[in-house]
Amino acid sequence: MDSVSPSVTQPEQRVDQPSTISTVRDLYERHYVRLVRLAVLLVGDVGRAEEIVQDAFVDLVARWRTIRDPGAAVFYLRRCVANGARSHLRHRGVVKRHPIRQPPDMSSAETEAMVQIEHERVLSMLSQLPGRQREVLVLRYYGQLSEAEIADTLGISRGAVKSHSFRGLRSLRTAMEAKR
Amino acid sequence: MTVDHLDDDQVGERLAQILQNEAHTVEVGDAWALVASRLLVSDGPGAGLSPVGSTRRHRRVLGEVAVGVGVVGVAAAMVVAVVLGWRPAALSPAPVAPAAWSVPAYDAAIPTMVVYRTTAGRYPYIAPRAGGRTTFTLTPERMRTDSSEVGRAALDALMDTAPVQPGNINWLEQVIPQKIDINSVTVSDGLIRVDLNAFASQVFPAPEAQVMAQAWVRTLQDTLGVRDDVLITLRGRPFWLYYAIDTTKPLTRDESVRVIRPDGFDSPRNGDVVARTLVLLGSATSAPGRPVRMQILDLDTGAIPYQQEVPGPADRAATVDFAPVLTLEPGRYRATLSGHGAVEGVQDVTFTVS
Repeated sequence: MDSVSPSVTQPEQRVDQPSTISTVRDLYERHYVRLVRLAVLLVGDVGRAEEIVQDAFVDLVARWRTIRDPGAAVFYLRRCVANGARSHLRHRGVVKRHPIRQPPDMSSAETEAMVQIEHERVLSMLSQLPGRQREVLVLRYYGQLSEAEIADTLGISRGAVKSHSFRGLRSLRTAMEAKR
Repeated sequence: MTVDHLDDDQVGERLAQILQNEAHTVEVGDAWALVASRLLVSDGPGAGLSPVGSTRRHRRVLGEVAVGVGVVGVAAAMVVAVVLGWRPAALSPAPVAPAAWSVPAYDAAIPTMVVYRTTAGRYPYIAPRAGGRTTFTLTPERMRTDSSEVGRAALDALMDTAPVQPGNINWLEQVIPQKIDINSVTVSDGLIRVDLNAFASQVFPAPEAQVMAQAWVRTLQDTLGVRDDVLITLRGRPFWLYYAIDTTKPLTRDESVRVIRPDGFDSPRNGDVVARTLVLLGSATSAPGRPVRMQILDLDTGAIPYQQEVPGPADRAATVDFAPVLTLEPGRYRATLSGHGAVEGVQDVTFTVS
């Protein structure tokens, strides 16, 4: 999991603007790329993902004075990204990032091609999962978050995280096992 | 064809690998300039940084623009347009600033704004500004004003422009509005204190931001006629000027900043109606061994009531400032500057004496 610089903020420390900008810049350099990629996996669109993450950084600054925990900044960013992605998908209504592609002629398929087929199939299945299941799986298997962290990020119970994870994996297993 | 039976751990491992592979196909550009440009100062008293709203459909454009501005800014090479106050004609080297400045004494009876600007160099640029303020101007400025708060007026004039590259930059101004409101300009305790109410700007690379900061310093010092350092605050607190310069400490004049003084008339402007007694302010750059000339032609009679020619140094270019005090009869006149510098050839303005 990403670490946070101790200099992010200190309790009761007055955050003046130069130090705020400097700290946000530091957070940006540490986490921006990874957050964008996380968002891409959630919404399937690079441009939208960038907007969501940039919004998260701007929102972070707006709430800077209320952040007391040094680790809260990254947590806040991640939660903003998850919420932003969900909001976007709710607005869009459907995810069509990874349309199911027709597999190549099996008679000429090499191992690499089969791996690629599985890759596409899994991503396609992932994009069609219910939103919560997709969020849980991406945060867990790309974000490397624990169940507790996922629960905090998404604002749901740990039991719900387990349930979404179980169901999501079951669906993906089908995609992975099919015609291997 | 085989069918594998995978447990949860195996599915998870494969999913993690697939997600990693997929994520690494995503090219992510640097968007710090855009993020920083959205961190504006909120309006509430004592407020810290807060975001400014922007419609999403504009954000990608803004990002490209902000990055573009940065690139353009670097390419523009921070040429500073220097405009001096009222002073007699004198030779000074160009384009490097002179080692010592002759600071005109501030005379409240003759308010003079001395506005330093970054500029695109060769091309004075004037274009209408859609929305917001009416005119975006990048010209030499050595303006006289009737403002009783000359320092503040000078800064306001400075903030009316931004460093630009020749070409169509008007649309940049539209999508990245500048917002710099000045609360006060005071001189006390050996400091020129400028307090802002709001500051929002394009994001400039640090070197260019330094030049912009020097524009503030020189404008204030030469307008007010003092050499005190400049302490800039935002509602009484330090901040990041142009998101690059920490204003915790006062800004000091840096003579090493490369500057030029653009040629042309500063006053009067084309079409002005002026009083019988006036000061013509203008600059022209000579080529090595070549003279520069200011001439005034009476368009009604064909007479030449004023003409001055100044020979330039034989071994280098030099900028000549003209500031003759004249009393003219009512009528229409054309003033002409001839030089060989940044604005080559002849510059003229037509004005009316009432």
